[in-house]
Amino acid sequence: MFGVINKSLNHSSVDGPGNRLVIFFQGCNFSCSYCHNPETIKVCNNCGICIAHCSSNALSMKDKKIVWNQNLCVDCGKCILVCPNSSSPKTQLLSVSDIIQQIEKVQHFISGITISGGECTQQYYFLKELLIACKQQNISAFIDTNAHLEFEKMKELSQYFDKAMPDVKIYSNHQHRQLTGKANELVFQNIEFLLQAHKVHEIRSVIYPEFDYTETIEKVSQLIASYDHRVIYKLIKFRPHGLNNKKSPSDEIMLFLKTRAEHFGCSNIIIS
Amino acid sequence: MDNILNIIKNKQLTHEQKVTSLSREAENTLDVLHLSPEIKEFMDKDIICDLFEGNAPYRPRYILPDYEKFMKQGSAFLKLNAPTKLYEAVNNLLILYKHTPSITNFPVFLGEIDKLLEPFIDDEKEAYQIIKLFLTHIDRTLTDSFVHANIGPEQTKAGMLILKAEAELVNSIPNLTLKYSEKTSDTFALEAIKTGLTAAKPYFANHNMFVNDFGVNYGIASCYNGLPTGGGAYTLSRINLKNLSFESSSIEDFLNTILPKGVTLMCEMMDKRIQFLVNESGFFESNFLIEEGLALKERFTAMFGIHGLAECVNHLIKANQLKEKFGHNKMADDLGLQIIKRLEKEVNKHNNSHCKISDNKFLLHAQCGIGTDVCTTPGCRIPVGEEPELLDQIMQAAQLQKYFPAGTSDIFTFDDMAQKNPQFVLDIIKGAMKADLRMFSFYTKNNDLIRITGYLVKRSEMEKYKNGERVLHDTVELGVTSSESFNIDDRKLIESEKEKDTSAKGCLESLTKA
Repeated sequence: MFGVINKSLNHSSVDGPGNRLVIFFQGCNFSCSYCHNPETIKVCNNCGICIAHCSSNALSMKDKKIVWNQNLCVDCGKCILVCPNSSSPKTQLLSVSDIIQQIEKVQHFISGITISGGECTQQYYFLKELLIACKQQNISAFIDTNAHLEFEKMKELSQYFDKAMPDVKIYSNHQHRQLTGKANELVFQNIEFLLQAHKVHEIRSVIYPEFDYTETIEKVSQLIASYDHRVIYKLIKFRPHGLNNKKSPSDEIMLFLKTRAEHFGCSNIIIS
Repeated sequence: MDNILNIIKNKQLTHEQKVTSLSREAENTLDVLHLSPEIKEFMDKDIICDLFEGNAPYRPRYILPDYEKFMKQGSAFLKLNAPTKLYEAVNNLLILYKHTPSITNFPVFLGEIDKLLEPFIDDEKEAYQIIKLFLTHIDRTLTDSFVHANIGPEQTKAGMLILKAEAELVNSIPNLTLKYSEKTSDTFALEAIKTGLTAAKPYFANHNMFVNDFGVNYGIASCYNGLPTGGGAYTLSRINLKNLSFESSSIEDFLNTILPKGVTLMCEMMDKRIQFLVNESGFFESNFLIEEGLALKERFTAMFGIHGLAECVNHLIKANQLKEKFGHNKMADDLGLQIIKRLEKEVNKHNNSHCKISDNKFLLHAQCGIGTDVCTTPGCRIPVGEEPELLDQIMQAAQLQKYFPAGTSDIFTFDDMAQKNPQFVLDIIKGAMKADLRMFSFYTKNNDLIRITGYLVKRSEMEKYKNGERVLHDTVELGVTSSESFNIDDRKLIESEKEKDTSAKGCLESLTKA
């Protein structure tokens, strides 16, 4: 079995405790309007349109599949910009043992790994296999997830990861649909289950200037406080990027939201 | 004589800085070393450099007094009894510091200050206040950033208080090293990292590597120099490998002829300096540190410094593009390693009977540069702005750092996010130490207090100096020239997540901006 991997980083300070190797899976079931990495949403359909736009000849077609030559690539980003499918041809098919080998190379430098995306649970079976392999090798594995996965599957998966870092995009179901294209009942059902099972390291909310987060902060903080007030609630400032040049929320707004979270019982709030 | 008058009339120097400069001018009127024309030629070509040690060495460059002994016996010459209380201990140390000579006239080694103070710590609240005064006194009177204190490896009450105080005071002096090993608790190491991300110190020194080289009685002095305690280094000279490589016609010529020639000439110069200092200056027959056994001649050695390995390698293999250069190319890195191994072999062919502590050999030191160095990278480092991915940089540096017991280091710059996750930094340091990196230093990019090459200076002080104001610390001037020569603000930033944003996000940003 192979996973479609967008990329990996040998070190990160913001994807869980300590230094973590982060693996970004390709493909997501949400399409958030403010997504920082929209090219990770869809898997490449091998249409080949990008090939002609690659000035360093790093892209070619073989057996009706796009081949990406990492050594020739100069990361100019044109392929992503011209993709009509909002995807990236620069992905790799990796096996679990490929990834384990990659982890072993840096194992003295990390507290563990974090599997992110895209949405890692979209490649459920590959993810499960990777998590099992990590467990066998005693590698701490976290998942960064939007928690929009069938409840039974999440329950099954939770046996194999150490902690999850689920997102709460926004509390209002209406706004959630508007923002992501999906409803959020499942998200809350999963998060509640994970909290109960002590499987949550932190909950994350991106604070996007178009929405009012007062209600979200209240509900999530209450939820955290009702299980374990020490679970981190990370409030991530939206930062303008690519074509989305909306302004970041001000420091005052972030501090106000932090105070609200504290008021509703959270004791470990990080503004990022 | 013009120089002397210029020093006297200089409005930017403090009184103490004038006195030091004037004494240097006086010393340099002498010619007692009688250096050969070949040495002088290499000095004129900026291949060999005596690092402003002066023409008539009258004190060892670096002295690391045996402070443990001093705490037990006091000092007859200084009329001090062994201390019984914390305030006496601190007072005794401050007095001895002011009577410990060095190249800068300031003590380059303050001892393992946590171990020295620990027996006197009773009431932690009061101890904290005393330690803060002790550290402030050091910063305001020992006004040179090469003044260096050590702590660790074990966690102590004193060690924790020192780290807390340094984070609160954010002083550029003293330089500070945590001797780090498996004996260091994570609590202590994390406290050191929190302090480091605020105050750019301490260094993390690979204690096990230093113990292997020196035994347990060693200290980290001046920039980052490993030396025997109760002794030190007579002298440090350096060879500019970049300029030396210009003398050669090929890699083989460099390795087999030019490098050995450079080593022979520099050893000859170092021998002359040591000969004058030991046999003629009278230091070892007259200084109270020697008389009272606080430093022993048998525990002195000498440091053979090098710099500019990166440029030397790049010149020899004619590398122009980044992917061909030292730090980015296996062939270049292999040549770098080959040069250092050959250097060690050549230096070890030379014997000096005054260096018993190091089997009559000179110890290698990766010298961190002086203000006037332009386009010559300190020691064996990869040039600023050309650093590869973090872990690749660490692994590359670790291969070379083991050859330099008398000091070497690499500097890593973190973004603000690291302060929220000190364990992130600790994980990297633990990996680096396992990979045999000798010295790890780090700071937060946007802070006022930063590490220039091996010493600490405040950005705000450098601004004052640039505006013509007088500043207390003599190393500020060095910081101003060095930070410009080495473009230290281009030092690669270790960002929270993105090494290099190869995803659409970064690409889109660059395309939309363009």
